[in-house]
Amino acid sequence: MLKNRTSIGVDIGVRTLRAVALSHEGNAFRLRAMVETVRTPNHPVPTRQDVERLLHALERQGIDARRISVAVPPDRLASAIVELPPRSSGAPIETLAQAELTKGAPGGLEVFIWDLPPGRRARASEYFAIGLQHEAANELLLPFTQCGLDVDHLEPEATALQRITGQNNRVVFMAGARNIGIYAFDTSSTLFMRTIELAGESVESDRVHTSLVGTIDYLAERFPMLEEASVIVLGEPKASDRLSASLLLEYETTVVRELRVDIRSTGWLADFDLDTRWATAIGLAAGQSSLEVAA
Amino acid sequence: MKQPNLLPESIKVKALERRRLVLWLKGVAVIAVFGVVGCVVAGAYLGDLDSPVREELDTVRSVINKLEASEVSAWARIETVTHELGVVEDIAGQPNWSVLLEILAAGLNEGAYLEQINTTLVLQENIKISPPSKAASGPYRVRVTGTSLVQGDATRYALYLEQCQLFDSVRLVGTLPRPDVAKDAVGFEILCVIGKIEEKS
Repeated sequence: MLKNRTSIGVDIGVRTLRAVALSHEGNAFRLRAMVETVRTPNHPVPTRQDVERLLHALERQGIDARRISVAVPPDRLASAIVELPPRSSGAPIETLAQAELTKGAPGGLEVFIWDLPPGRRARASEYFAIGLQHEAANELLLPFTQCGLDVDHLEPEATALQRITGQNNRVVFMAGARNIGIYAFDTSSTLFMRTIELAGESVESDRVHTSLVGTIDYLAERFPMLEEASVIVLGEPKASDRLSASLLLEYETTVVRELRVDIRSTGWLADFDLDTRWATAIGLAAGQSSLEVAA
Repeated sequence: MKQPNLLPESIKVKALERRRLVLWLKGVAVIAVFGVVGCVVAGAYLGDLDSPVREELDTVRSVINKLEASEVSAWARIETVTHELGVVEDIAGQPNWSVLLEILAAGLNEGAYLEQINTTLVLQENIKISPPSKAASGPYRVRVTGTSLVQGDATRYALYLEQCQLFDSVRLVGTLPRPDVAKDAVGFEILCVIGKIEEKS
């Protein structure tokens, strides 16, 4: 059984749970296990049986999971660009951002903010804030804790993807079966995130296409440094193929389809294609592993 | 780079406390292990050192015994040599008694004569061995007895002895009539001391 220094990231998808176990090997990672199990339909969060199924699958690959990182599903996360006093003023930015996000949302909220670069038309300092209600967090954590797991980190998909897509300015598209996540990063922070629900439509549909183009135009306008940014398309192979083709048709750009992280597979895992739909789980495991090594 | 962790604050605090507890327990365990290892290593080293230390201690004890034996032997030798020296000085370092006789005789007149002269070497009781020069330096007690035809001659003779500067003390111990010699004759006894005699307290 592998226990030491093996980090496990769990991505909660709409229909499945994906888990990746990594361990550090110098500047690279060793893939210890990759598991995808189905979720019980029509449940907003995974059930205890879903988590037990995932744990059994991990055990079959020799992983005795105790501590994991979990990605917050996009629909559970509140996010907003908020205008607040500059940090130099000494104002409690985190508290003010929390107050902004709590408007109309009762109960406790866990908030994280990134400082945004000044925009062309911005009159005040802008921050990108995300928040997760305690009630939603506890509901999400419950099946994992019931199975005896310690959830060390509960983080947005954005930071998991940020970790494994490079260090330059970049726009990352995460294509799923039911939605498309759009994330913008500069060298060290998250600038933007949005989820476009497909609602049964294809990427080529007018609504989805208009949403995509509108979002990209907004990003180019608000963050001028992104005009030269890399475009990275990840996710379900078929969905990401169509999204990639759509972007190439609309813009003169180069689309990157791979992760900027060195993962080495051995044994029977070497026969499997670790495509980019595993990106979120990989990013979570990579983050936990890095934190453990740093600690 | 700071990364978001959206776990509720209460869970993060509990996790932090749990990590600290585990850290403390690990620390205590490590210290305990080091302590045990230290004890074992120290025990092993001291066990190894035990024999040499004991041997060295035995050697030192042996040297001390030898030195004590040598001291006893040396004292015995000193005693023997001192005794031999005393004997030699008893023979070679005797006072010239003829001087005493000459002085004693010089103070007599026609009406007085001496009957007996005793000289005694006075030894201090706490000294078991005579110092080498003891025989020559005294002190001596000189007891002089004699007869005079009149009382005044005995007294004058005692006064003479006191003034002759040979003795450190002169005491006329007593006189008694000697009708067997003459009608007014008296016998006398004078006790003189050459040197200093420490009186018992």
